[in-house]
Amino acid sequence: MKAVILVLLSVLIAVPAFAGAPLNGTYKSTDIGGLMQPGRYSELWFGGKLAVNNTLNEQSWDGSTLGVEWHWYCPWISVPPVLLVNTVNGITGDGTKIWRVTYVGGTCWLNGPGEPWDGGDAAYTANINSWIAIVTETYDNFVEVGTVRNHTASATFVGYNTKCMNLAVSNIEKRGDTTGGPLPADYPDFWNWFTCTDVGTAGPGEWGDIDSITFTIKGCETVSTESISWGAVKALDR
Amino acid sequence: MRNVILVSILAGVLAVGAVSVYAGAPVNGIYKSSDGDFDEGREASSWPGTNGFLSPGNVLHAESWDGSTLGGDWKIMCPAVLDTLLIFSTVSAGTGHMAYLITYKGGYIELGGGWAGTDTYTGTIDTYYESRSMQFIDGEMVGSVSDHSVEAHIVGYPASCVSFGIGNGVWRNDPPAKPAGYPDYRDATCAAGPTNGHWGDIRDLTVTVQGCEVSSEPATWGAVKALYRD
Repeated sequence: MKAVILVLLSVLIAVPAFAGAPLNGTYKSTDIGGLMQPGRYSELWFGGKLAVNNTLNEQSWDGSTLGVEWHWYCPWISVPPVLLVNTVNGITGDGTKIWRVTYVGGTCWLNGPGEPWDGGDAAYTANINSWIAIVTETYDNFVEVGTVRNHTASATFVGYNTKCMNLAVSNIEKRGDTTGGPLPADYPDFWNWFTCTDVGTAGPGEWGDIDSITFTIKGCETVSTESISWGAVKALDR
Repeated sequence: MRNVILVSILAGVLAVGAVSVYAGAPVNGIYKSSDGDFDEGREASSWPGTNGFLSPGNVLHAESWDGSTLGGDWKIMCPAVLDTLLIFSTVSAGTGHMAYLITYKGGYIELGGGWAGTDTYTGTIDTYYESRSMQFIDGEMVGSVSDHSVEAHIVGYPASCVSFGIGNGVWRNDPPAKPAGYPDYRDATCAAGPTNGHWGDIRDLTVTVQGCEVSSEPATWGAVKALYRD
């Protein structure tokens, strides 16, 4: 009897955390006319750039603080990237490489109050379902001198109906890596995939800027709940 | 004999004149818009005839944008879509992502504004690729970004004189019609005229100029005459 009551009480306590689903809609980053913050990223390397197990960490950037609005962390490269195009001249070392990179795992965290998708919760968490990057590198004398990327991601929210998901597409410019110096301040720390924790700034790894974000929340519904009194709980077991 | 000398002198003068057109070779280097080396830009891609988005024959026209004027620092003129290749698709029931690799053919670039040398340089495009990622919700594309890469050889300089660049693109077709301040639509002959298409911004560019510096010696009129003294 006591066990049943405890279970019921624990359910009642858990429900308020998911009181308001994120608001469905499509949101754009401020650089393309929206309200969502652009961001910055780091990627921890396991054996060099574009290597299996390299782990992403992306955080919003409001000009002074990281991660206030959103944080995608711990998707990692699951299989060797696929080289789609290679125009690098074998003699001069000049040209372009384009890669498709597939990541798995990871988590999406969104702040709640005051955000365009604010549905009432303090924060929202979603499990990343897919993450694909298209990476374009330019080479001068066999040295990579510039890299831009497209990222696409989708995730399913925790605690809501199974169709409650988000999708994102964004641009990225790589701004540096640890072969040229340390991770600058105001860029996200490196995270590793196997413990999904912050492992500091030492790296090795790379970092850069994120903009041109289109972020969609779709299929989310707040499950209706009814308030219940202690007397009603007891009545259930009479 | 005098005529021969005159013809020779004239030829020499013409040669010197010709050299001066290309006197300031592009300056080899790696330039980045995010470092402030040159301006980022805007693009308009025409959909000639009955074409739609991603159709072969669509023509790209991009120019730098300083906030008020197009084309001061660079231009990408009229590469046309040759074909498209689906890289991946996660779209299910109209919702998800897909990405295409777009191959362009033809066109030229211009580099000006003083950041890569003193002249305005024209380069014939050798390769142009765009990898475009799109987000679909219930069958409607709600957002799209792309990576551009271009390689060109500079006209009037040795074959080794090349420029290659990459950049991010973002679809901006939110208003119902292309706003002022974006490049015009071009057709297959690179003439203005088409009225349908899409437009966007191009950012985060890295441009490399390589193999362009040529040694040159100043030539005075006296030096030219001295060539013909016996």
